[in-house]
Amino acid sequence: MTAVIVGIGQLAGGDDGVGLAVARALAARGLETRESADASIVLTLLAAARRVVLVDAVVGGGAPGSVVRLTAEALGSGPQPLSSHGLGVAEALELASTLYGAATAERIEIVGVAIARPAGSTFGLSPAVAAAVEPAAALAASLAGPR
Amino acid sequence: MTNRTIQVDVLARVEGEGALTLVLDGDTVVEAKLKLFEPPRLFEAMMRGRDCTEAPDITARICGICPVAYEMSACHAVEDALGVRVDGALRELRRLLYCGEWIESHVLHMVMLHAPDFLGFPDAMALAKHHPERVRGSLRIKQAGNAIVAVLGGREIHPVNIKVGGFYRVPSRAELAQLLPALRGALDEAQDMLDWLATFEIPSFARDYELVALRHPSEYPMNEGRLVSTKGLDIDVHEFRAHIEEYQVAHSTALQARMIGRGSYQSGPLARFVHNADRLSPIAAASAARVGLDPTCRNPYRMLHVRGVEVIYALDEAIRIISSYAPPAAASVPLVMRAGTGQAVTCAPRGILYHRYVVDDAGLVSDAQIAPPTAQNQLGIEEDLFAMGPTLAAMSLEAATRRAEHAIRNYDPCISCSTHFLTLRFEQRGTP
Repeated sequence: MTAVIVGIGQLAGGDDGVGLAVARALAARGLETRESADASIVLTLLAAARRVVLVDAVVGGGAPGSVVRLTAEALGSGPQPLSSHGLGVAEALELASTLYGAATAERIEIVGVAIARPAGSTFGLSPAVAAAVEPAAALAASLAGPR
Repeated sequence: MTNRTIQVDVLARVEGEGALTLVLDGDTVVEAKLKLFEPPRLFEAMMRGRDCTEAPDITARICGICPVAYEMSACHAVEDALGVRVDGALRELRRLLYCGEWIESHVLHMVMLHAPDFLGFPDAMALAKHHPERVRGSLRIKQAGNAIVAVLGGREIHPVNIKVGGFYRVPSRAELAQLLPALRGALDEAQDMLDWLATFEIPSFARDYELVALRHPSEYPMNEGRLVSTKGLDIDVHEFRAHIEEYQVAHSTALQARMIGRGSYQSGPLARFVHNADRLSPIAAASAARVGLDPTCRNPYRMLHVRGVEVIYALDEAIRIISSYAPPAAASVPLVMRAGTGQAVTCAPRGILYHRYVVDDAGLVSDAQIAPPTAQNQLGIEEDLFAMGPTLAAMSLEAATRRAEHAIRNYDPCISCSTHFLTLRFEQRGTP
């Protein structure tokens, strides 16, 4: 079954909105997508036995605009997805494992887009990060494809 | 006697903009500064020169957790400026939308963020290991709220289907009816959850707060009412600025608010309940009575239980609205641009949210003011921390830090969502 693609981010946070931009680009192509300001949405999807491709901005993942594939196990070291409200990605995945079984980790893929830092109350992406929307969308779509 | 500093640096999405500094001299708190991440100021500037009908969409982006509150206050304020009244089924749908937001916001806060404080767990992860079925149940309740917002708003965050005058598209009876089974199941689970929350040990604390809330002639308030307080305030919302002022403080980017001539006030769930307990539905009123809540309550830690009661109310109210829903003839009320000033107060989950717009003949905004609930509650939160001096002084630094965070989270401040993911730094200072 094709995975649902979840964009996480904050529209008013400048480059922090990149996860949402990727989700919208893929929604326009007819893929099943969701958008959220926090990662608790992933819990609901994993509880419903869905596969999930999560797209979020990361700090420390290389030059802004770099697209990186992260594993659930790697969260907690190296490039970190951002979180402000509710649950961060690492916390949500750990919770999912506790609540719905360790096998949930096999049903999630994470695409990170490196950003310099979130900008407070700024709309729109910087040129480098905007240029990463298409490659991130392509990676997310390929990961979402039928297994 | 030693000076002790409790320093809590929050790792928020925009780093360094939410933090707490608390300095104790013996058992006296000599400094309590809560720094909040507060974007609305910049949104006020952003609104100038924009079409007034853009206000709901633009201000909804202030927060991904309570966008409905921003959309509702913006819609009502602009409609006030344009002389438009939204009634009937459209008004009921707005109320249903707010029910959805109350459910998802309250449940996330109660179980994932606040319950660990009461039970002595460091975070939601530890809570989930010990009480997995409670956490799974809370997520099912939250999902019932999310589903309301998704159906009415077009999606779960930053809803796109809400406009000044109503909606772009209204749901059919069948679309809403499909929400009912999950809402009914969630209502049963919410009763169980409240009974569980009622078993928690509640710290003893109370202050003589000025509790401010909306009060409506017949409803538990969401989108309209008079602004009333426990110190005698009883005003139309158009008099907001004659009674409440916002002012700058050096330690926070947020403006703080105070009642002119009196000082701090609180506007969250406790205030709503104290003023409107007689407006709860029979099911919600019975739930409040079962856990011993009554309008004399002044203990902010019991807002945990008030939120639980409000979740039950919102589920019950959502079921009522859906069961009696007949789609309106039109999805929105037509708008005619005119110059004017519009104001509105609606009930965000964490307190009252005030919007004011000055609109010109062409419908462009020349001035905007947004007073979010957390900024209004901030002064009172700091006063709670001052009042807790003797309690905190008797604790270890670690326990005192936890208790201070716990007390701040009573108010579910906008930053609180991130305060379970914070880095603690302890500073121990000798006698100066």
